[in-house]
Amino acid sequence: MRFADEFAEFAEGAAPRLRRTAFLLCGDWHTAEDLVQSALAKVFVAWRRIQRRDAAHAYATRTLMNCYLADRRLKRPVEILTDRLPESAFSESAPETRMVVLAALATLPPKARAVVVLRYWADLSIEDVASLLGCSPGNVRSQSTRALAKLRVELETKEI
Amino acid sequence: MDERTLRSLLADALNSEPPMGPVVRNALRAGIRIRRRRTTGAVGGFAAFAAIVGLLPATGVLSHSAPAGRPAAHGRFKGIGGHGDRPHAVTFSPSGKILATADNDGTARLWNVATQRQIGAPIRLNGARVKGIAFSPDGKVLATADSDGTARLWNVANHRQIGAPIVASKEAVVDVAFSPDGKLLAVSAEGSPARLWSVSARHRVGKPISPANDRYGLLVEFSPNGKLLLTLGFDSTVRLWSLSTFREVGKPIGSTGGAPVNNAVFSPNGKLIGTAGRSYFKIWSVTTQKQVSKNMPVGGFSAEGVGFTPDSKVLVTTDADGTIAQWSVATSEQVEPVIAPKGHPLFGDEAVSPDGKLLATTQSEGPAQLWRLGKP
Repeated sequence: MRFADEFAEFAEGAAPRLRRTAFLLCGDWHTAEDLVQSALAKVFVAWRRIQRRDAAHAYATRTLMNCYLADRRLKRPVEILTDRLPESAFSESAPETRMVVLAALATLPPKARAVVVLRYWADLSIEDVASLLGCSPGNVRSQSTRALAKLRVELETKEI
Repeated sequence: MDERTLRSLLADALNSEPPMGPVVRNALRAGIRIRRRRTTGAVGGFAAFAAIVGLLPATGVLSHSAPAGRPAAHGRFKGIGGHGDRPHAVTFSPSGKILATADNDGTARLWNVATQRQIGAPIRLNGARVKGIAFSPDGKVLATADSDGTARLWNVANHRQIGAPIVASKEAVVDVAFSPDGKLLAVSAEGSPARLWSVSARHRVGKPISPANDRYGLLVEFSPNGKLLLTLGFDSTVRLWSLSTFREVGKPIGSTGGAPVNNAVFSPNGKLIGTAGRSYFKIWSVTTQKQVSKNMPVGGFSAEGVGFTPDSKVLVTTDADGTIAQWSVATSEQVEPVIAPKGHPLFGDEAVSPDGKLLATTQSEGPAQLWRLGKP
């Protein structure tokens, strides 16, 4: 099945990056994997159309964002990451710093968090982020300014 | 804290990365399940059974396999396409006698609709792939949108290229459309705004057409009266542009942040726009840019195929769940039983023939197919 093979090849390549993006968005690896899985399933369903547009990576990222934002909107979870240290088994670097960063990120509204992750981790331009999140560049700019200010306060009180 | 610190903090936060589970395998499995999930829209019970029986492929398609009248859902039948080619775009010539396909092997091919035989050799590009196709209004010229950033014109009669390619973008050209008078070609590309080109003189006409925040064009189409241009961008929003001022007309359709639009098409009478989205097919007024239909549900995860019959009274849709549906434009109700072929083909592009009797589709597997529309 050439069709599925093509998709699998793309998905294997894209999954690690997508999972890291998702982790920074949701703060836990299990949820991140779930998000990537449902995003990739949707990418597979639309594979023919995406291939034609040579935009598979952008489409996958966009779908991931939609999955994440849709999930957030439905469940509105209260994330408290400072109280415990999950997933620390694989880590050799200071877990406290990591937790503080994730906790600071968790104080941001989902969309602002998406803006921060896409701009400062995925290194996308303001225009690309706007395109992925379906909003204007001005909106991305103001969201990231506000988010940075908030993160600064959060992190400085924790002395990082 | 500056941006650099934030970047390194984010990278640090990823230090705990555990090994990955079978994400791709699970996604593939879930994707296949979505594809297979059977949806018959508003039609159920006896009507759903009738739908399967009503699945009659177009005249001639069955000439190589089953006798006419046999439900094609029960067997693979020969479609329009090369050996296992998977076309991704289809369009009928204005006369309805020729079907053009843009194929997965990068070629464009022309087909005799009556015999389903290929006409001449494939149109092949040197080191580039055909992404979009359009016939001129007189049916004599085929324009191709090519991955090397050009649009090319071809003589339908002898498959020879007409003149030099139109160099439109550094990235791929993704769609082309002829104006109703055949004098202009609209070219939509990645990385450049959509532009109009003079077909005879090969120079740009008017101003760039593109929303400021969108780097990609996906689709471009002239209104039947030639006064408006429709664009669909990577922001999944449909916009209308005046071809006298080159300014945007009214509001975008499928507002930003709202449900994304995958495909859009003008009704032949020029009054309506049909859109295919993730969850619904919708019909919009060209003058008010407001939705004028109910939400017509999409089967499966997504849909791209949307087209009007020539009388603008019926919207013909195909979706990722393998359903062909026909909706009354006036009532948003299904006017014919759905066609739901066995195997739930993942439909991509579609084209309604100029006489409204046939539907050409592309699907994720196999060649293009023709279906008979209307009453079985």
